Amino acid sequence: MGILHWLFSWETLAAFLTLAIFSFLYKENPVYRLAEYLFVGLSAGYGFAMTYFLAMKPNLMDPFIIPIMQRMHLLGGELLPINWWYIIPTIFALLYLSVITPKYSYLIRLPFAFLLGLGSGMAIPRAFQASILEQMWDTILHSPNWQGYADLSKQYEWSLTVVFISAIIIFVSVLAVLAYFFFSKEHKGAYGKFARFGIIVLMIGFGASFGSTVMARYSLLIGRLMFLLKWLHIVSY
Amino acid sequence: MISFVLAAIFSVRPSPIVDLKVMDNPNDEGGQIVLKWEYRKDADLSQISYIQIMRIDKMGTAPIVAEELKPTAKRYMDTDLKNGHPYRYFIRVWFKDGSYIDSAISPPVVPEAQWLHKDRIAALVILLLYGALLIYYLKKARKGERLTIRPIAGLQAVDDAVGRATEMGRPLLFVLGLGTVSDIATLAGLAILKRVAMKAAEYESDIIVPCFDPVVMAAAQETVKQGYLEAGRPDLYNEKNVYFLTNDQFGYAAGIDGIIMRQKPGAIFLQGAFYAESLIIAETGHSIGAIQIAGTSSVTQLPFLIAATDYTLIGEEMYAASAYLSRDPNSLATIKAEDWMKIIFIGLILVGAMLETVAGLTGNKSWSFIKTFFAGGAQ
Repeated sequence: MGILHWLFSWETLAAFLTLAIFSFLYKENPVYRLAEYLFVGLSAGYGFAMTYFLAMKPNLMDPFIIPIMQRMHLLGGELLPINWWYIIPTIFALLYLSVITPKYSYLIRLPFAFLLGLGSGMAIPRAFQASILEQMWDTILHSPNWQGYADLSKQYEWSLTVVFISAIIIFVSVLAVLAYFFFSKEHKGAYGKFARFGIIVLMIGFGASFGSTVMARYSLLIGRLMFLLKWLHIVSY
Repeated sequence: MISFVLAAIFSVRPSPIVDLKVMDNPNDEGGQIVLKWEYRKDADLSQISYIQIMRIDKMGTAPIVAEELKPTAKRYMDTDLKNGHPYRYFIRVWFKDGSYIDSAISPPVVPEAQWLHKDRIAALVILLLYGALLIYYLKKARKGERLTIRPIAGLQAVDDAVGRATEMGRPLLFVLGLGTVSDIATLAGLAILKRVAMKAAEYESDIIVPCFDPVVMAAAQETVKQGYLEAGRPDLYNEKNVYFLTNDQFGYAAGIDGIIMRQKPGAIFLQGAFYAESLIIAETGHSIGAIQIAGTSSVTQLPFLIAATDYTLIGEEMYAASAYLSRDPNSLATIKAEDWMKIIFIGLILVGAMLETVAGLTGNKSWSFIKTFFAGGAQ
């Protein structure tokens, strides 16, 4: 009974699917394909349900569609008020479906244009703020008399001279990286060498990021292996 | 005993709260009021148990809006208020002996929405400056002046990759990542997709585009169709090759891996917004020997793509792709304007750093005006 219970438990199914996905490390095979299709199919279905209940129902069905259906006597229950403003996003949403008919598929450009305009309008000022102004603020060095230096010095037990040199390195590196992303001039001569320094700086940064993320991935792998060991009752925690 | 009780009843303790300031929260959409206060210097804060914020609306009632704040608190923001309605506040200080004292009632304050976020004026100035440069270069481009940009290695390899896949008789795989259609990286990916689709049509190769987002899928279908049309081969366009896979991150990665292993594409393009799935996809592509060209602005994923793919477009290189590949004068004008903005930023950083150093050495913070101006929204 104990073995059967273990064999037909959800844990066994999860372990089987984990091993099926891991089997891809050897080569693509039918077991991996089964797990892949199951994963893709389930996640697509789950995604649809989530979209319906978290986006479509509260933002379209409840305030607009259901009250209309109630008035058409297609649905019962307590009469809900109709929010007529919702007719605009509803029409925009329906225009997405125009792609089904080749004759009217051009209509999909209307919601696209709206979405792209809105998205760009929201993203550009935010990008100016987060990607440019904040970087400028951090690159303009703090004076040695100011708190920023004192904090760094205290945090890393560095002398003020070391902190100052590190700040200079950051300052020059930022300028070099900016020079690398300058597209109007070819990377030749002294300017080319400065831009080359910029890409080296980027690669050093990417290397550090690579290392720390690999460690995070290892911890995910360890988590999964621990699950398998727990499933096999080799470890108990 | 009686005298003690009478003394307790009739003694008037001053409120420890002084200088209660109530104001409309600046730079917001309204509905928020900020309260700031100080404690009397001779107040014994150790005797205070907690403080409550009390709000009086136009009906005159006084509900508690903040329960049991610590006696060290000096600021509170009241939210979910109605714009245009006056509100007054006072602070009730509860002592450990169970008694309480109310502060003076503030004058009425009306929460309102502001049209201009004053801390974002620096961003507005930069935006206007960029707009002016853009108009200048657009005019130049329209006059027929030749605008050039330097070669970008990853983009030069696009045509070669399509050609190689064609020679091998294998399809092309284009992955747009997890971004939505309003993500700048996705838009840049779509611009590259158009060029790849044109080349695929020219070489009569198949191009497969599995999508994470249904709206991106519709945009990708339009883009590929347009690419085939512009290449003069609309008959080769197959709508079924641009399809929705799933909108689950790792389900998407598993699906792409399966496609790579089964269809064995000759060239793989990873262009868009990527997250933790980037290395899974890029490693699988590497394992089948496909030529891979990646491009993203996701800083945390760039290291993986650089390590696992043949060419990587780093951040703005990807954004410049559209102009580089199409050679459209209008697009080239935007790159020129951006380059000038970079020069301006370099200048501002240099001048700002020097002025900041002067401010530090002289102790006169008025030299920090550049930093102060740009710090408005940055802090």
